[in-house]
Amino acid sequence: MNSITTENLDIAYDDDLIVESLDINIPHGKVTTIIGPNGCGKSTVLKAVGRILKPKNGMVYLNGDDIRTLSTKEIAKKMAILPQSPSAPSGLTVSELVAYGRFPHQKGFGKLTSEDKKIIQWALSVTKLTEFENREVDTLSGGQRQRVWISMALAQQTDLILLDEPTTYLDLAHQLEVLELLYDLNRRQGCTIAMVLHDLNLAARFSDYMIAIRSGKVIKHGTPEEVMTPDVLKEAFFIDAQVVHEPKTGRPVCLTYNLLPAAPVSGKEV
Amino acid sequence: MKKKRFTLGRGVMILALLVVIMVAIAVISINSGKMSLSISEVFQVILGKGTDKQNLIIFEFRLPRIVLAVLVGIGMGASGCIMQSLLRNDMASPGTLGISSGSGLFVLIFVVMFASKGTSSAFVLPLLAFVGGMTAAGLIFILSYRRGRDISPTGLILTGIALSSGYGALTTLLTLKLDQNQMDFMQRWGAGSLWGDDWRYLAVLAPWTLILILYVIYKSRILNTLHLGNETATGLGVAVKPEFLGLSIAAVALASGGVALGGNFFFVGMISPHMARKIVGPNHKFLLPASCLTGAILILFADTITRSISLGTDVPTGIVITVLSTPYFLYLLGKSNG
Repeated sequence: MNSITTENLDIAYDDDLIVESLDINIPHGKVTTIIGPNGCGKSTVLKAVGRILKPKNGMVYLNGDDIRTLSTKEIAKKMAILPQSPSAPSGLTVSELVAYGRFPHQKGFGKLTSEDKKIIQWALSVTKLTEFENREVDTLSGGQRQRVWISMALAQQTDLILLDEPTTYLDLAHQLEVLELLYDLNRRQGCTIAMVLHDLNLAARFSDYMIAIRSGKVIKHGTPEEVMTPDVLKEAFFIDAQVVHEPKTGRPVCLTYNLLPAAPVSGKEV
Repeated sequence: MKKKRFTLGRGVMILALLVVIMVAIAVISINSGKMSLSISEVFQVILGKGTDKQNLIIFEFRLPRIVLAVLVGIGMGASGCIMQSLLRNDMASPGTLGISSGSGLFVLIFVVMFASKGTSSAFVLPLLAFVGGMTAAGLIFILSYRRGRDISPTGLILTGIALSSGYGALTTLLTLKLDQNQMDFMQRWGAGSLWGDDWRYLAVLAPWTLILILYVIYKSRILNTLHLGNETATGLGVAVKPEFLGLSIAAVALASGGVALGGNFFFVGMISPHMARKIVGPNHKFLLPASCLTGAILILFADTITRSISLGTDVPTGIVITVLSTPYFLYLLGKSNG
């Protein structure tokens, strides 16, 4: 079963076709990662799936329903999306921001019900933010801030969470912390996670399913074993990679790589 | 480490406090002016026991002016607050975006063609100012629109400043055709003179402002999400385009009412939201009313000073506000750089 299915998706900025007749699936209950070089259209795909961008042609199905037939509020009850490096207004506290996640479930003036409050407390505790609830978001570190945004998405109580490069601007330890949190959410709370990542090894380590994209086309999709191969990496990134298996997790890692002689200059980041 | 405990109770208390301050200044304001009345005399008038002369001073001169100051302040404060949140830029305001100048130009055209006073102008002026403001907003939007790309707030503000000086040039051109009386009116209008202190005008401005304020306060939850950015707001289930449009139109309408009858209170629209944010934080449920009240307090305070300190001739209220606000604005700039 798939949370998201796309059919013949064409996505364009003006007349510039970024993605052409793309068919991808985001399997239900799994962690899915989209990888690919800069400007390949991976963020664009995520935005189209998250109805931030309107595709030129093609269909996006959310749990089997055509996304165009659902109101944006209905979608927000089923799918949360975190854009790349979101920013909070200064002075906003952690619990206030997380409370905004209740938006799609509220009516009128949006007074928080006791159930809303319970869910907010749950979202804070899952992301280990309970002790920070009265802190201002802009006084927190980058890793903590990312956890606050994830907590807001959790308060939305959706089955599916989309994240656009959730580890950007974070150091190694904080990248790991965020990805472990997402992995836990998937395994313990049953959230379906789909994200765009730049780091191939982290992607292989935490994903059940990977989609490699180049120039708006899928090169390969499948388990990390199937996608993290020298052939796929060569086609996707124009690199000559040596892939080995990490002793601790048994997941494939890209140990070392060189540029291939005919590597084209990478395109613009979208 | 900065810890802040912000509860619903505290927010309501601060808003109540601002209302008290506003009423207090209004009471002082009603007592100040060229003909001084003691507090007991003012109470006599309110209880209906005043002399004809006292009644005239309070009900026909001072009270309408106070009501006008409050309404203009509410409109400017709310309008600035909405614009800053929608564009996620602290420099946004009816002034910087050129909305006020657009409204002003239309007001001027009306003044050049017809007399500025009279019953019909009570309805026509705010409406014309609104049309002018919307025209300016539309122009700014079209000029900074790039196909397929998000509109950048900085681009909008720069376009607004450019258009604003264009409007200024047109305004100057038109003033050449004015006679001395109209010229005086225009100059004082441009400096923020609170000229429309007449119940006939207020009977139009009050419901205009009140209805719009109720609408935007009802939308404060939407403003909260839009303040996080359009993409995040979409993710939370906000229909971004229609909400953005509705709130922008409301912001322009709120500003133009005040611009038409009060004049150009450039600084109030920009500074009130800043001050309000310092006091109640960024949650619009409190920020929006606090911004309205701060705007009202600012104009009321400035007007009270204008009327109690005799500076020879009648000094437009807006000038006092500019003098008062400039140091605060410089302080803000200094802080954001440091």
